[in-house]
Amino acid sequence: MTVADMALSVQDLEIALVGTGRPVPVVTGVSLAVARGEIVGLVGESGSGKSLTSLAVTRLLDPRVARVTAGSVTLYGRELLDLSEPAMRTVRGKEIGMIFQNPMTSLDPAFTAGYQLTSVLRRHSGLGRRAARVRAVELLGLVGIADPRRRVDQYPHQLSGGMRQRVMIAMAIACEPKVLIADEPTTALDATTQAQILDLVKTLAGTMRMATIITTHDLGVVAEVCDRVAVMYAGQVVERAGTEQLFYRPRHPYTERLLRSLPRVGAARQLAGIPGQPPRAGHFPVGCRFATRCGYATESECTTAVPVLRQLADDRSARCVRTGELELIGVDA
Amino acid sequence: MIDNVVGPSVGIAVPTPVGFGGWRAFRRHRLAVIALAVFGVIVLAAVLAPVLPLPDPNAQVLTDRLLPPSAGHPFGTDELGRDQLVRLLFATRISLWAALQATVVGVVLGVPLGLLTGTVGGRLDGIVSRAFDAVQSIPALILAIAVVAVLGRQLTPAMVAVGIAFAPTFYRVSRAAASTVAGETYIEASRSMGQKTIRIVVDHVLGSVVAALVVVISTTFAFGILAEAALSYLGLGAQPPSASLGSMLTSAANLLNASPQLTVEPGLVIVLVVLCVSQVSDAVQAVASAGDGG
Amino acid sequence: MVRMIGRRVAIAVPLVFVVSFLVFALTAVSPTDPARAILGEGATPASIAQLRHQLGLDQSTLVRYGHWLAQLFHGDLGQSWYGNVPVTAKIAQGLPVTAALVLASIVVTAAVAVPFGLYAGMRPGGRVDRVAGAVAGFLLAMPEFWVALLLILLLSQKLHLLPGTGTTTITTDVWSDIQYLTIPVIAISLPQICALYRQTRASAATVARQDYVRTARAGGISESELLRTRVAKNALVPSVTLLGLQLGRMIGIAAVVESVYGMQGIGSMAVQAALNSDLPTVLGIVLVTAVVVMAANLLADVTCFYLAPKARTA
Repeated sequence: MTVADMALSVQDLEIALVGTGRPVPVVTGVSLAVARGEIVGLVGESGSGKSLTSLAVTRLLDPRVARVTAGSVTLYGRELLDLSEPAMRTVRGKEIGMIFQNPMTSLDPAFTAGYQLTSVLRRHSGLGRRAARVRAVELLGLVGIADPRRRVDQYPHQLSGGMRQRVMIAMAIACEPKVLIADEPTTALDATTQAQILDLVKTLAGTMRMATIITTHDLGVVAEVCDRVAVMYAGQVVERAGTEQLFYRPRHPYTERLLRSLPRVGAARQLAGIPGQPPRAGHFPVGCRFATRCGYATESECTTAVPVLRQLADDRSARCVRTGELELIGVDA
Repeated sequence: MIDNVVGPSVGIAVPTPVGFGGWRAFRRHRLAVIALAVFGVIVLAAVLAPVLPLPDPNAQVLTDRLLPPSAGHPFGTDELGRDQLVRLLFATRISLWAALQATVVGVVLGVPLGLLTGTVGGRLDGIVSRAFDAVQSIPALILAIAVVAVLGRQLTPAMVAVGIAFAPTFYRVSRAAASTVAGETYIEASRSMGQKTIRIVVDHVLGSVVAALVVVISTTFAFGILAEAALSYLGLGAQPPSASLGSMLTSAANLLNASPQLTVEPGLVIVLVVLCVSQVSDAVQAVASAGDGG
Repeated sequence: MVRMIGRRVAIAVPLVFVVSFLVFALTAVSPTDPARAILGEGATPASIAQLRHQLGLDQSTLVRYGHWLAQLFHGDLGQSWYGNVPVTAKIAQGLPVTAALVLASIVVTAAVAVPFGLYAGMRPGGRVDRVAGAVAGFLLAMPEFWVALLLILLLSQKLHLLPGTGTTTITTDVWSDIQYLTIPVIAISLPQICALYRQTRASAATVARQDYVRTARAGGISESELLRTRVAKNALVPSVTLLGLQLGRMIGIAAVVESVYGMQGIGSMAVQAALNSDLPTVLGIVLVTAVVVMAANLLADVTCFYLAPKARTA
C-alpha cells in the first residue's frame, strides 16, 4: 500500500515546545499510518508525546505551547501541514473528527448539546436549522443516548460523563469523516462506561469505515479495540506491531516492561512498576532514551547513538539495537 | 513564611501568604517598581513641602500673572502670579491626605466586620451584609454630595463619605477571604495538630487576605484622589484658602482658553498619582494570582 | 426565572427601606435647621418655632421617620428648601437629561469595550492586546471632569466642532441632542471603557484557553464565529455584572460632568442643592439614585442568569 492509499499517514513528524527562548524538540521522527477502517493505538505514558502527536494531525496545537517543526501529515495523499488555516478548517470536522480526553470540560457549558452538534452539521453540510436538528437527534441515538429528543435540548451539566463523551463522539462523526482521532477517550471515565465507549468507538469505526487513531496509556484499551499498535516513549515511536504480536512477543524492552506492569487477577507476583522517570524534553540523553531504565542496556551499544526504528518484518519494527538478540517476554498465552 | 504546614505527602494544598516571596515576585514587574518609587517621591515631597526651602505658595505677585513655564517658574504662574510648581506641591499634600482619609475609613469599617462575618457566618452575616448592600447602591460621589449637604462644605466629611461608600468592597473581600480560609481543610489539620484558633486565624487568614486587600486599598486610594478632585472642583470639598488639585482646577477652568496650562498641570499630577497607584495594584494582583496556582 | 426575579425584588425591598432610613438619618443628624433655612436670615425665633411645629420638627425622630415614610408611599419626596418647589417635580425635570447622558454612556462603553475585549482576549499578547492594554491603563487614570474640560477646550473652543455648554432638556431634535451629549458622554465613558475592556479581556482569555473552545475548533468552527458565540456567551457574565456597577458610578460622575458642561440633570441639581444646603432635594436624589442602581443591578443579574445556564440550578 502506498502512502496515497493510506487514509492518514504521518511521516517523520517533529514537534517542538515553544516558550521563552529557543524551541525545544519534544516529539522526534514519529511516523504512523492508518488504513481505512483500521484502528491504530498510540500507547505511551503521560509526557510521551502521544497527545501532542494527535493534536498535530488536526493542527490544533496551541501555538503558544508547541508547534510542528518538520514532517508531513497526509490525508489520502493530500498534505495537511501546508494547508491555509481556512482550508484546514474545512478539513476539521468534515474529514477528520476528533474526540478529547475530558468530557467534563470539553463541552461548552453555555450551549445545549443540540446546539453544539448542529453547529458542526451546519458548518459543513449546509443543512437548514430544522433539518440539522433532526439529524442531531438521529446522531444522538446512533451514539447510544437514550431519549435523544429530550437530551438534545439539555445543557452539558445535565448530562453524565459518559453521555457527554457520547455527545462529543456524535459531534466528531456528524459529517462522516474519513479519519477519527480519539485522544485518551476513556481516561476520565469509570470502568463500566469505559467499556461502553470503547465498544461504541469500535462499532462506529467499523460501520463508518473510518481510519481511527486512539491514544491511550492503558494497554487494556489497546487489547480491546486496536488492530495495530505504536508504542511511544520520550517523544519517539519505539515499537510498532499488530496487537496480538505486541502482547505475545514484544520486541522492545519498554514494551516488555509495560506488559509486565499490567495487573492480572490470580497472578502471584507483585505489580512491577518501572523505576525512574522518562527524560523530559530538552534533557534527552545521547543514545537510546530508554537506556537508563532498561534492564538490557549496555554501555557500548545503547548510549552512543540514537537507535533507528528498524523494520523487522511486515508491519513490525522496533527501536532497539539489541532487539535481534533479546528474548523478551509477553503476556502468557 | 509558612510554605507547607502539612507535608507534601499528605497532599493538602496550602495557599502561600504574601510574604517575603511575594515581594521578590513583585520586584520583577519593573514598571510597577518604578511606579512605586515615583509615588514614594511624590509622597515624600508633599509631606516635606512645608519644611523645604520653597517660595510661599500664597505669595501673589500681580505683575507676574499667567506666565508660561520658564527657568524661574518651571510650571508657570497662575492668575494671581503665584508659582504653579509650589502650589501643585501643596495641593498634592491635601489631595493625598484626603485620599488617605477615605481609604482608612473604608478599611476600618469594612475589614474587621468582613473578617468577623466571614469566619463566624450565621445571622450576623445576613444582617451586616444586607446593610452593606444598601450602602453600595448609593454611588460614592452622590453619597459624598449628600454628606456635604448635611454637614457643610468641608473636605474631611466628604472623604469620610467616600470611605463609607467603599467600605462594602473592603467588607466583601475580607469576608470572602475569611470564609474561604475558614473552611479549608488545613485549618482542621492545624487544629488537630494542636494549634490554637487565634494563631490559625492570624497565620493563615490574614496572609491570604493581605494580597486582596492591597488591591482594594490601591483602588480606593486612586478613587479617593479622583473623588477629592471632583468634589473640590465643584466647591464641595477643599475650601479657600487651602487649595487642592481639584480646587486649582476650578479657577483654572475659567481661564481655559487664555491659559490652558493651568488646567493641564493639576490634571497631569492627578493622572500621574493615579497611574502609579494602579500600576502597583496591577502588579500585586498579578503576583497574587500567580501564587495561587500552588 | 420569574421566581428568581421575584426573590431578588423581595430582597431589594428591605434594602430600599434601609437606604431610606440612612437618608433620613442624615437629615436628622444635620446641624442645619430646616425652618431657619426656609425662612432665611432675618427670621424671628417665634416664626422659626412656629414653622418647626408646622413641619413637625419638634416631634421625635421615629415619628418623623414614620411620617416621612408615609410621604414616600404617596410619591412625595418633600419640598425643596430653595424655592419651595416639590422635590418630585424638580427631579422629574432633571431626570431625562441625566438618563440620556448615562444611558448613552453605558451603550458607548459596552459597544467599544466588549468587542475589543473579546478580540484581545482571544489573542493575548497580540498587537491589539498590547496597545489596547497600555492605552487602557493610561485612560483609566484620568479624572472625567478634567477630560471634559480638555475636550471642551479642544473640540469646542479651538476646533469649533461641538457646543461648549450643555442643553437644559432633551429636545425632540435628535441631532442637536447628540451634539450636546457627545463631549460629556466621551468624558464619562473613557475610563469606564478601559475598566470594562480589561475585565472582558481577562475573562475572554480564560475562556479561550478552555477545552470546549478546542472542541469547537476541532469541529471546524471559524474564529469569528467562536468569538461571537462561544467565547462571548461564556466570558460576558463578569462583564455584565461590572456594567451594572458602572451604571451606578456613572450617575455619580454625571454629577460632576453635568456641572462642567452646564447641563441641568439631577446630578448638577444635587450639587447645587448641596451648595445651598437644600437637604430635601439632595436626599430625594439620593433615594431615586439608589432605586435606579438597584434596578440596574437586578437587570444585570437577570442577564447573567440568561447567559449562564449552569447557574440556574444553583
